[in-house]
Amino acid sequence: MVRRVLFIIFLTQFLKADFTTDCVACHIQKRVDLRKTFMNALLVYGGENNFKTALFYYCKNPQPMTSVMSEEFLKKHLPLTPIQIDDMQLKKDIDEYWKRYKIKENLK
Amino acid sequence: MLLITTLVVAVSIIYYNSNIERINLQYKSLMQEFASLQIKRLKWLHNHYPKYNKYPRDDRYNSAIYDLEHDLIFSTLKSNKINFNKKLYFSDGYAIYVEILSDYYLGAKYLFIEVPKNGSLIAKVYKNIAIYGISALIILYLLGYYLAKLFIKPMKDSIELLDCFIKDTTHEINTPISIINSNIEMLKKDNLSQRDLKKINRIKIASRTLENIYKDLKFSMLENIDKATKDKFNLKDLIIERVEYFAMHMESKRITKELDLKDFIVEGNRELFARMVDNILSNAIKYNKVGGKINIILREKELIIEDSGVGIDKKSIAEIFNRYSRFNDSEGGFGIGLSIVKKIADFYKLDIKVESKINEGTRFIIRW
Ligand code: HEC
Repeated sequence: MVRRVLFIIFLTQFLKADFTTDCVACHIQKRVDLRKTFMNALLVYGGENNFKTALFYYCKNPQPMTSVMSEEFLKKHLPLTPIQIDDMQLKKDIDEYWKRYKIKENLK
Repeated sequence: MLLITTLVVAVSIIYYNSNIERINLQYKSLMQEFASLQIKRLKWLHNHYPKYNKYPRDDRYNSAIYDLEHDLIFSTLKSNKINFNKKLYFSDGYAIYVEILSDYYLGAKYLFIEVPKNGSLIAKVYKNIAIYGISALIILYLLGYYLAKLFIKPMKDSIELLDCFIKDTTHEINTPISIINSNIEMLKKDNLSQRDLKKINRIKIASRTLENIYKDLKFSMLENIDKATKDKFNLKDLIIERVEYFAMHMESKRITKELDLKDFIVEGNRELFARMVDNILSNAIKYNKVGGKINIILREKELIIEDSGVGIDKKSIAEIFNRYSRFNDSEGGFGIGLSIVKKIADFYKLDIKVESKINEGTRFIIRW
């Protein structure tokens, strides 16, 4: 029984740790289009590595000054709160995020 | 000549460079337009991505986008040389223009615009350089030639005048020399004192030297020696005669002579051969030491005249047959003597050789 409970907890933890649950859910709730944020971030951060490291840093310390979104947009979301995901998972999520829109492979 | 050529080349290079710059500017302005057009399209695609994902293309140019890490995002370029540090470059027959974006549409920092290189533009430059450069060269050469002629003419005139003067003077010298010579011969020497006799001898030597100079001058004024008459004579007799002629010269320097002469019949102008022998002899006397020696050896097809004089150093031997060159400056003379020897020897196709050792003497060897 205890084993089962532990397994379920582990499973839920495991299922929870995924891009959809980590990022998409909240973004839907807050009505922030993940595509738009991606394109805005790409516009500023350019290359893959730069994008990933910059976004990682932003998620941990969101500030209006370093945001890629417009000021008007940001006003609706103040105050900005850091995302509570552990570093390893956050990195994975961001990798997933990049894969989802990767320009290089999708352009024809 | 060199100056003109370098001038024309320099002008060509300047012309070429300014034209290359002009052509590059043409390319740049054209490709800048393409670049801003492409950026507009990239912006649109950026805003509609991923609903639309077709990279914008144009018939007039090829393009490529790279991100700030120099990673390729998308390319339709034909040339495969990518240079991030130049604004405009040429590769594989294409002109490639590089634009750096401030907004990284689709993550692109570098936009490459490529158009086929227009060969006729540069060909026209080469054609112009060829046509104008060559005609400028020809015109300047002709001008230079004309000017040179213009400047040389007065010099030529004065040389001609000098030549005429020498010719006339030479002609005029003949008579007085003959008068001096014949009168000295006619002088009754019996009732002269020993001292006067010595003086008369000196006059005789001087007038013979003068006569030699006169003959040399006359020879060098001669327009062509091929007109000289052909005689047949014994060179031995000629040499004895010429040695006799210079006897007093030798005596005055107490030079002893040793003759070893065999008969040798020569064909040629006797007067020319006399000139040759005279000039070698007079040199052998002139550059000899007081109390020196002169050996003359004549065999079949070989004449050797050697002296115990100052000698000539190795470097000068090559030059002694040149006109106006003298062994050294201690003795006077025109320096035309040996050039006459050479000229005559060449005319009769004789092989003439000079061996010499400083302070030991000089040997002239003539072979038929
Ligand atoms: C707690 C809710 C929440 C979660 C979880 C969340 N986001 Fe956001 N995100 C927001 C809000 C609100 C904004 C708009 C404010 C802003 O731009 O900072 C935002 C903005 C962004 C931006 C724009 C950044 C900028 O510079 O303004 C990006 C990119 C982004 N999110 C990606 C992600 C990714 C990737 C994840 C998953 C690791 C994630 N978000 C998780 C709420 C969330």
